[in-house]
Amino acid sequence: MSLISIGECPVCRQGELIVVKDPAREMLLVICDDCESQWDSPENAVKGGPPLMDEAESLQDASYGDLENAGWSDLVEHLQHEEQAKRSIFQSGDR
Amino acid sequence: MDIGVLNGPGLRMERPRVSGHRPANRPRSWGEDYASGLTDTVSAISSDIAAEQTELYDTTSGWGNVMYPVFKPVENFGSFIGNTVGLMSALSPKGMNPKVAEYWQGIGESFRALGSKVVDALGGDGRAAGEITPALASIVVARKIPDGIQLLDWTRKSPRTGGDAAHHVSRNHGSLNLNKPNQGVFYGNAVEVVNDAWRKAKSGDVTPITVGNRDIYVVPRDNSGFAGGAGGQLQNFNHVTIITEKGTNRVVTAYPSGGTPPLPKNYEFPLLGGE
Repeated sequence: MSLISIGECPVCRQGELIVVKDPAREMLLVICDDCESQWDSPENAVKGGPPLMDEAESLQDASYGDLENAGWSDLVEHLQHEEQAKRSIFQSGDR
Repeated sequence: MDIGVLNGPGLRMERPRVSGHRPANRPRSWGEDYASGLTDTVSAISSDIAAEQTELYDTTSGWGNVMYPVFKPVENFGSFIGNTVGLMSALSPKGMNPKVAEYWQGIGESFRALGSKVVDALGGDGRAAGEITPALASIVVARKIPDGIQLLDWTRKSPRTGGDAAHHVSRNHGSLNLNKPNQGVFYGNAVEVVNDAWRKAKSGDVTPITVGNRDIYVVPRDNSGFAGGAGGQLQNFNHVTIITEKGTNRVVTAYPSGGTPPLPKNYEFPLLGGE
């Protein structure tokens, strides 16, 4: 399963923000894959909002299906739009 | 100046003794002083044990007498550590690191307190029995290693990958990875470089910046690594950024970096002005 990355970590500027699920609390979180700061929403993470103080201890990578189920369909839409934009840039570069 | 006190009577500084027998009252060496002091300590402890044993046998009976040989050595061990450290500290040519001396003396005092509580509880009316557990706990909990010699804790497990911190740092910053947009890459063994930087941080004056649940230390250390990732231009990095869990020495990640901590996102630079 591919990782769902939504940007650069605002805390360490070295890691990527990854969407994960917390099975214990049955919710989605965003975590930096380097400094492992956690946020409860993509908006907070991307805008550099305060990270969670009560951190989850066991996490699994989320799928697009998990995002839809959790009501994060806006994010899915945004990511798909970004993906299409990237593809079109590469395709125009090939010509 | 007459230095007869040190070199024997009648010997003046302008006539230094360069050959012949050494005077009988020559200054003893550090080793001799140390051995002698240690012997005195042991004999003092032995006589102390004898005196207290007699007193205990005269004034108590039952469990106090039976358990005395078991717990009294704990107290004596405490005295031994405390006294020995005191001696070493006093006699060492350069003096022992005061923080190390303080640490061991503290351990000695804790053991002495524990032994005395147990002996009191068993030999007396039992009122001290309730204090035994806190006394024991104080040895384990309150005797925190002083800041100057505190090492990094690498045992933190990643909630996502399950690997420990050493694995995490080596995987993310041990070698060049062009999939990362920004990446500090260590020269040599990442864990050794970070431990070395931490020693420098603790001996110097590096204070962390706290962001959420993380403390960020930016420690000056020459030639720690280079700028890698897709955006790096292989510039040399003379700092190590160490990120720990807030208020602890538990490593989350660490990487070579420039001298400034990561700025908060959307930071409004005051010099840019506004419209």
